[in-house]
Amino acid sequence: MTSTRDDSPQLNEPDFRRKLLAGGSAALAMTMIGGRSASAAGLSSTELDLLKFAQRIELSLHDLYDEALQVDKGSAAWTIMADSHESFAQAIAGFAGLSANERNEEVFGSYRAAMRGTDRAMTAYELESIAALTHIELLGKLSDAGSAEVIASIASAESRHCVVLADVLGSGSDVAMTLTNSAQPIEA
Amino acid sequence: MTTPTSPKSNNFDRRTLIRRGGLTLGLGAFLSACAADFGGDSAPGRVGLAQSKTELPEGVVNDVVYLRTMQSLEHSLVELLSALIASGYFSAAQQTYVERFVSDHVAASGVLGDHIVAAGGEPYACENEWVRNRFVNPVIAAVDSSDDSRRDARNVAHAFETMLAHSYQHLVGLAETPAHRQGLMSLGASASRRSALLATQISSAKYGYFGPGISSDAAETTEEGFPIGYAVPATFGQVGQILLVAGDVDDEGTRYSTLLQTPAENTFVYEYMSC
Repeated sequence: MTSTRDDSPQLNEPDFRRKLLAGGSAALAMTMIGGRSASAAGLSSTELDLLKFAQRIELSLHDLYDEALQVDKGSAAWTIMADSHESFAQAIAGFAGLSANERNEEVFGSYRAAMRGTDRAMTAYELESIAALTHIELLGKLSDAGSAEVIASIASAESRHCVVLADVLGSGSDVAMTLTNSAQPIEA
Repeated sequence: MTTPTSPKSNNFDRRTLIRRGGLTLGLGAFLSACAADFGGDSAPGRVGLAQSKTELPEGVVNDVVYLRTMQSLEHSLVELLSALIASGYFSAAQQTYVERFVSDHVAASGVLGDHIVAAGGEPYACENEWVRNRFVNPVIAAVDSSDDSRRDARNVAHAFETMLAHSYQHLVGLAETPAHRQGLMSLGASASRRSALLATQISSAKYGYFGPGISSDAAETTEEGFPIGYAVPATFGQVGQILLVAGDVDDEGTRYSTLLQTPAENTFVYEYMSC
């Protein structure tokens, strides 16, 4: 036997109009707050600033590896490194709702020439060390566990990049280079 | 016609039965009441030998537990690597950096101990019993009886360092305090470096640096079926389980294998536990 009862929610017209207006106003308010309001994780502005800072560093590293690719055209290692840092920036974008469109110009400008020079592998090693340590420092400031997870996974990968670059430099057995991060983090 | 009559007994009729029965019960009750008390347990009987019910301790999971667990895992690595070094399974060159690993693990335990004390907990500067019984003991037995103990010792060291790196990263997402997350990941980054160093030494010459998570044509296992460790196995840091294969081939054509995992409720070193 089929029920003839209408189970759909009952809305009279004034109620429906009021709810429509309330929903529309809320959506409008969300868009007016700016790009930050897109944070699906409901992060504070301080948290978003810190994540933006991390994201800009990642975009700088991506662009710096692109500089190295101008010299070593088609290098698989530089391509993978560049792609990895772009992925890191995109991961932060996906988590926090921050567009990945702005690099850290200071970092980029400081290392651009070196990444085109003969010591570009050593420069890359330094950059990876700095980035890893900067992210680890950032973990002490981020309050959201989800943010911390994303940043931790990036710091872990960058620590591994350091070992690869040390090996490329012929220092794969040098424990000072492979096991120790003696870089200085960038202050957020 | 004569009517048969039952023979009557003059000694035991119904009245006599009731009288004697009542007298017996009364006498029994009187004697019981007057009996001496010899003590003894009057509680209902029990089945089994346990003296009393054992209350399970309450295992609250918090940052101190995460830190204590990682401290115990650092000691598990110390025990494992020291055993492999003592057995002479590493070449002179390998032993140089594996000995450095051991001193790094001891130092990491000290750092974790400081974090634990600062958080109001009690350090746990000894190995993880669960990991010892489930992983360390069988792995050492497999390496000892292997057809190539040197190969296995390197792979074992790599797998356990990778497990440690995964564990630190995993717990960053669980810890509540930012300072603890930072402390965990600082040590996790070191573990990642050790894992990458071993992978570089073991397999980069033949298989390269980048694993299947990055290069789609990267092999997952050697021709003999051993998992290949890559310096950078995937784009992002990983937290998954690690397959470890070691030991000689048995009668069925297989080797000992196990899956190393990040800490969970059964591996945690709760605050009620002590060395």
